[in-house]
Amino acid sequence: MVHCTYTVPDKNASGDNFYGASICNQAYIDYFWGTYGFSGNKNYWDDGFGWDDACNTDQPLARAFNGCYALTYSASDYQNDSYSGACLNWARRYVREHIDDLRSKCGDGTAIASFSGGTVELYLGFFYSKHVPGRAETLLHESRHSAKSHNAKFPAGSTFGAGKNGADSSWGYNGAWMYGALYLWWYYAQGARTTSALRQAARQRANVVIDGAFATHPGFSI
Amino acid sequence: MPRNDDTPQLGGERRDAEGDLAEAGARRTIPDISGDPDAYARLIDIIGTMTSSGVRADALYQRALTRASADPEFVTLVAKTSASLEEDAYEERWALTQLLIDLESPEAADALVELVRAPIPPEKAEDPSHGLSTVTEEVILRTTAIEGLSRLLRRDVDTSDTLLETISSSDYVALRRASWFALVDGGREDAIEKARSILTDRGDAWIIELKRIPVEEAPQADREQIGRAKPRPRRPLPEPFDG
Repeated sequence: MVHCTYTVPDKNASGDNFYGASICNQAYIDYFWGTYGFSGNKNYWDDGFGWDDACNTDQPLARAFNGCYALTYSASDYQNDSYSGACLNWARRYVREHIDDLRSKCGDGTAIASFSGGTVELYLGFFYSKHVPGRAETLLHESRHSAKSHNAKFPAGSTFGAGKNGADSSWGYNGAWMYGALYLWWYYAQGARTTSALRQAARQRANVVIDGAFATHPGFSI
Repeated sequence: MPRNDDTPQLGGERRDAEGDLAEAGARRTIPDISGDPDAYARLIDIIGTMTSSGVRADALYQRALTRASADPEFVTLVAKTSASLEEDAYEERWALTQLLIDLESPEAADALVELVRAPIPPEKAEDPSHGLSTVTEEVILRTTAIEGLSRLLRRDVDTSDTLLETISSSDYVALRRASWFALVDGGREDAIEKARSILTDRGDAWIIELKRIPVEEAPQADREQIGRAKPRPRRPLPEPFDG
């Protein structure tokens, strides 16, 4: 058994105080647990990860639920998750349909999350270095790895390490970086039940992804 | 339907199981450097409001900003608190930087300039593409600050030197792009011409050609590829807490 210790960042800054207080409700827990791949994975969410204390936003599970809440309800017409609509609407459906098992682990510090064969593993960095909408974006990014791996090297001037593997070749490749950036872009443009500050955060991150995560720059900016 | 009945229950008991073991260590909070409990409480309240959710979330945030921006001492407190944070407190640093730009106060200019000009520490992540890229976090903080410099420029606070310097010297496309658009939005023709010249000279004329477009005009995800997913049963969706 791997044993890890985490530092909990300021929960006002991350949004966990507000989300956590508002969604401590069995109806949400039942929905998220049964919808996004938690079900059947209790063993990966207990022993300090929060299964026994699902409203405690110091612990990973409640912080994952907060990300699931943002994923589920950030479109004004959240009930419409048609793939013919905006990414902000269908992102929750895509995650639901592509993650079989969602598990938490300590990780070795090198990755925030990983995807393999329908299983997404979330590591401490997911819970403790991303604000709430950023966790929603990460769930979509990892889900997209069900269809596409990264296939290119980061370009010159990228913040992710120029010349290193892990980029997508282009926006049109429809890879995980494109899905994540597109989600953040819609969140910036039309995010509901949120603030202008968090929408700006989405815009800044999406632009940095657009500038640095595609071997060929898409040619546009937000 | 759940595959088994392992859903967490409020008030449930802990059971032994396999898997990793995690425990909380330190809990980080935004430090009180004011020595004034009321001022610190206002700071914490507004940070909580800026990251909140609900149909009234943004209205409450805008109202709080209106009150706070009229107080130069509060702006100074935000700037000093931001400067006091540890380098790796990225969420807190983002929150205070975003607050600083949203206050749109000339009093914030020096702090934003200092952040934009600060050298970016070397990457700490072993695998920046899959882990937390510290360079990316630092760049996002600076592009956020650059947005603030652009807003100030539009209010006749001349921040163009810092933006031009960033275009000229930054290794990162994101910072050069953000500075270029900040100057364009600022509307000072002399500075825009200088920026155009610098970008062209360094082989970055393509940044000038970038189009800022609404998301509706961006290429969307290929629907044929999305549609290959195996549909799963939908569960009844609870109402959001704001109804």
